[in-house]
Amino acid sequence: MKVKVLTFYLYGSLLGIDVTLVKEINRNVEYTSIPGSKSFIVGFLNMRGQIVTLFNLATLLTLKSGERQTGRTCIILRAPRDPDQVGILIDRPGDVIDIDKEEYELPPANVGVVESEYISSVIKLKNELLMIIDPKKIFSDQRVIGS
Amino acid sequence: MMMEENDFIQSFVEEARVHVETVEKELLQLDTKNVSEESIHNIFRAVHSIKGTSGFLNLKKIVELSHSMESLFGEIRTGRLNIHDRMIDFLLSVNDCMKTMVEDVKNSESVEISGFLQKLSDMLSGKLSENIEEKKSDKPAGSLMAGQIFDYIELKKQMIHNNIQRGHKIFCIKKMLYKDIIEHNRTPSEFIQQLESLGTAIDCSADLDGLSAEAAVNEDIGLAFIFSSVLDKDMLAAALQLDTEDILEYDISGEEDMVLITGKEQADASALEIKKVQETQEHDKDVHSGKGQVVVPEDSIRVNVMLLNDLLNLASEMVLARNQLLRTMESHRKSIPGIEPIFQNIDHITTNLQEKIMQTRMQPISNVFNKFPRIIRELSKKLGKDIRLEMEGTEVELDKSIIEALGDPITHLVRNAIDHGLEMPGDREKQGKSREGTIILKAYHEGGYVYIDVIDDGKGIDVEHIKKKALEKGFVEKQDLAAMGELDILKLLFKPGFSTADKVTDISGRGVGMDVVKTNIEKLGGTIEIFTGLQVGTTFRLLLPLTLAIISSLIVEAENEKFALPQVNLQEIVRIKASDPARRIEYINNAEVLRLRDRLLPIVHLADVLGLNRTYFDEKTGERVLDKRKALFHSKRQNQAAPSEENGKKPDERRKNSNMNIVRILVIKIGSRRLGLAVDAIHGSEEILVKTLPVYVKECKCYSGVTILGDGKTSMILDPSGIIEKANLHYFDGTDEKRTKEMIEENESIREHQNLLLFQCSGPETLAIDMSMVSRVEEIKAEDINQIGDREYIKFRGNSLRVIRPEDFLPITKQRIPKSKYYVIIPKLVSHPMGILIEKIYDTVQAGINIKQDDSIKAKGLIGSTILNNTIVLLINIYEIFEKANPEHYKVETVVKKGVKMNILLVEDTPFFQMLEKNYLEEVGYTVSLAQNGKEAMEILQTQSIDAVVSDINMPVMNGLEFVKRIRANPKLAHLPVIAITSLVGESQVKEGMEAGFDAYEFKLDKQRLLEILEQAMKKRRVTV
Repeated sequence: MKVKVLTFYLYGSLLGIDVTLVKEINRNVEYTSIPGSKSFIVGFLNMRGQIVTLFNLATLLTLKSGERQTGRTCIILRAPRDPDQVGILIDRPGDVIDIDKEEYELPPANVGVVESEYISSVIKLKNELLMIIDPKKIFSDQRVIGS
Repeated sequence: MMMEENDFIQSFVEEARVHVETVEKELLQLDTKNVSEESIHNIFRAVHSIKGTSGFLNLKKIVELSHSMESLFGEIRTGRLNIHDRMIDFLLSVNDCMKTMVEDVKNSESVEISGFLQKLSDMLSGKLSENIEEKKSDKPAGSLMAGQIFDYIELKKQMIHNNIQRGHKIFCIKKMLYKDIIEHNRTPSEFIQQLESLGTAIDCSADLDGLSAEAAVNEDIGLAFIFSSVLDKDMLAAALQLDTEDILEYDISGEEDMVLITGKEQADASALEIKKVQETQEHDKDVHSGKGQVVVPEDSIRVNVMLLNDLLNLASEMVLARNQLLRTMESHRKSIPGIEPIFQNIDHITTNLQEKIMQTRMQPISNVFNKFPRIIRELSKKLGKDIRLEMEGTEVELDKSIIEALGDPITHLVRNAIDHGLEMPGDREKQGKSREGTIILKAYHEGGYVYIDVIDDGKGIDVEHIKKKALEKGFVEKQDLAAMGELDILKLLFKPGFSTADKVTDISGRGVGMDVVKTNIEKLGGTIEIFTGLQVGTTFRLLLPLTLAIISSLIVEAENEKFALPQVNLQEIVRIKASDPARRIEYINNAEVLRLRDRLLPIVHLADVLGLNRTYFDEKTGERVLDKRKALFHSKRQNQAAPSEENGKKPDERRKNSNMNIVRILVIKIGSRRLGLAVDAIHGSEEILVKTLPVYVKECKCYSGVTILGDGKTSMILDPSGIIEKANLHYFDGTDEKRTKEMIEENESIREHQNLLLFQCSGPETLAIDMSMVSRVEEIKAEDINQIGDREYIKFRGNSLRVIRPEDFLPITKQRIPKSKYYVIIPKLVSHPMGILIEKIYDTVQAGINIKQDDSIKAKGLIGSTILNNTIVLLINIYEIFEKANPEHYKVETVVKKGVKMNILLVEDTPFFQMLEKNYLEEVGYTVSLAQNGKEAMEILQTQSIDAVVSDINMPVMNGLEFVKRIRANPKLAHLPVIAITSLVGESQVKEGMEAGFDAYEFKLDKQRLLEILEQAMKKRRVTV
């Protein structure tokens, strides 16, 4: 069974997300940062009157933390939790590629606990590794929602 | 006046229309084999609501009809009556009749409904068995009962009416029984079946006029079938294989025809009908419209709220797009001729568009509240209760959908409050309340919610009564009940079918009210709270989310980030130029404060609270550089440093550096907490649409929501109370001094200053009396004093008043040098008044004083001494002096039996009063525990056994109102007698106090009263003395 995956780059890493979970890709977004919010929240974005919370996926996945993202492109996901819309800020989008489910492989053991929870699988592409993220897991995690 | 009436009717029609639709929908969905309880509930509620509102508008017929329906559904609801298909058909026709009446409210009184009513009551008593069917077959036999004729006509009329509304035409088909039917080998019933396949057969009658007395047996009988169908006459003729002349189409433009059709055979009945028709016609003239006597609603249509939501969002987008367009085209404006006016036009239209769309959704709460003055007037007449209505916050705007959905719940609550809450005037008097009961409707914003309070000062809800009822109705098990707290028990009120009223009235008491209220409020995402105190009253508080609410806010900027601050909390804005010595921020350790009208205002920088790096404008470089003050703010080491020269200079240097920096201080007040919020810039005010925070940022205390500003950017809405919380946290971590200082400051502002009257008797001592004890001071001549025995009297307002000289009872100098002029202090609130004869009045002073009691100047009659302007002043206690002067009246009775220990908790912050009241209480044998404020008192209540509480209202940290609310909310403490004693006794304060849960509210210094009401309160709360 083939699955379409949207790939994107974030701090040099190649990440992927099931394309059916993606609502749209916006370039040149203007967002408002939220002082005092958690480090992985970039800010709010006005998407045609709806508030979208933008996340810094890199911080969540501990790809690279501390630095403020400069990218202005974001992927807006299909609302995992109504009515809260979420988006992730990325460096640049890649392609939409077909991947056979058989190629899916669980994250190796030396990947951190939190990261491996958010990464549903790893795919060995010819030149690089592709990490498939699981937005459902991420955006329903208590650490992300915050109590 | 007339306009108002129309407005009511208009809103009633709109409301009732929805209910009628609900009934219809539910009836149609009802499956008789498997009756859904939910549907029955829904119908019941809808009918109940119609009944309720129409009752106020005095629409008797609608009330009658809905009342009957309600009763019927009440039976069905309890399962005492089974619903069957025939019944549904009939109920649908009843509902249609209701619809007609609702649509044509003005004429609803003339609609004949007795037929429906009769049948409904038949159904109710179980007599109905497929009655419609029976009557149909009965009819040809011509043996209609007189009473049934009427029903029958009514039913037919209704059928015709309904069918017309469905677009049917009414025909009369003439047939000869033998020639046309029997000879075609058909039976009349076959023919009717054929008709039914094309439309609805309404009636069939034999042409009896055509039959002569001596008619032969085989003479043909003319039959007339009354029939309705959507088909045209020609089509019908073809379908039935009839000549078009056999079919007669009735003109259905007037009701008269229908009456004639149905009333054809029954002369008596038709006479009646005609009379009614005439009445109807007369009514018609009144409304100047022939047929459509429907009250013409204002030009309004119902639009799906979702559509409005989308429109609103799109309009916001439009604004954004316009802004982008204008920005991008800015440089080309000049080069393209004629584009400027087009831009302006687009600009204008877009703004207007957005505004209008916003307006479509927002409505003031007054739209809901405004119907209550009338409702209350009517109800007060009906129930014989005197009711006063107060409304506050009518300008609070809420989304239309919320406003609409609020109508019913609030009506229910108000009705309940009047019917169950308020007592009869006589009973109120017995309770010591004013004859007039008060209902308060209050709307306000608080903490991201719109609060709506429905408050009555009636008898409150008796929790025991609820328990009893709940057991009777089987809502709870006895063992569960024991474990339930008061709040849980109050929640039982929201169970469907729960009613505590002993009598079902047409105002309330069927137990539908509360569950409807709860369901409706929850649908809006809100919650409902009940606060009640026996004999004090009940408050129903609806908390509605701000989701759709629009608030006016100030757009402020800190470190290039824009925020919206709700204007409700904003008191004033202070602009501070760093170079202005008159207005400058001063430092107490590291805490910044501002002198604002002689009070110190703590300053918090928005940037600090939010964790932004503060910058300031550097004059030399012309750049913004990181401000080090923030580092200072967090540093603990700096706290310890003494305010040395160096340290003292620092702020000045900084000020020099930041000459260009202008700080704007927003003075925010929440309750008694004041705060100066420093921001970099203010961008004016904007009406913003509040959106709730996404879950991901819920933990940020400083925000209450998020909004989209006019420029299309999102902006956080600041929550002042959250900011205070966050800022306090900082103080706690960093500077304890700051916090203490703030506390003291707060205490200072709240502490009651005492007004003292300074005077002198014959000796040189300066005496003082608290002004709150003084009613007035009279000047008298020496000859006005009459000696009777060893006592002195004066004439005062036509009565004799005993006067006493304080020096006779106090250890002070006595010099009997007769004077020509004296002053008499007439005390206030004393049961056996006496005047105090003095010789000289010095002054009145206002001061927060410290009283020394344990020095050598101590005697009964003196509270203590204090020093004012370098003079020793003796404070006298008039009650004690009076006791000495008139022992028979002021006999101290020990209230507490020997061996019994009664613990009274006295909560009072002013030492003077604390001492005074403690004395009063201890004198009669109580044991007194002391607390400075509500917070301390709560702590004592947790650890000590206390029998009653006497509390001040104005106190720092936790005031008396808050304190008593906490007591009442705590199941363990709720039973405690709590009385308030205060120096503020205004009607509104008393009311507020009683609402908060005090058992009594009394003036501070009246000893007799204090002891009396304490005793009363204890009796009431069943604390045995």
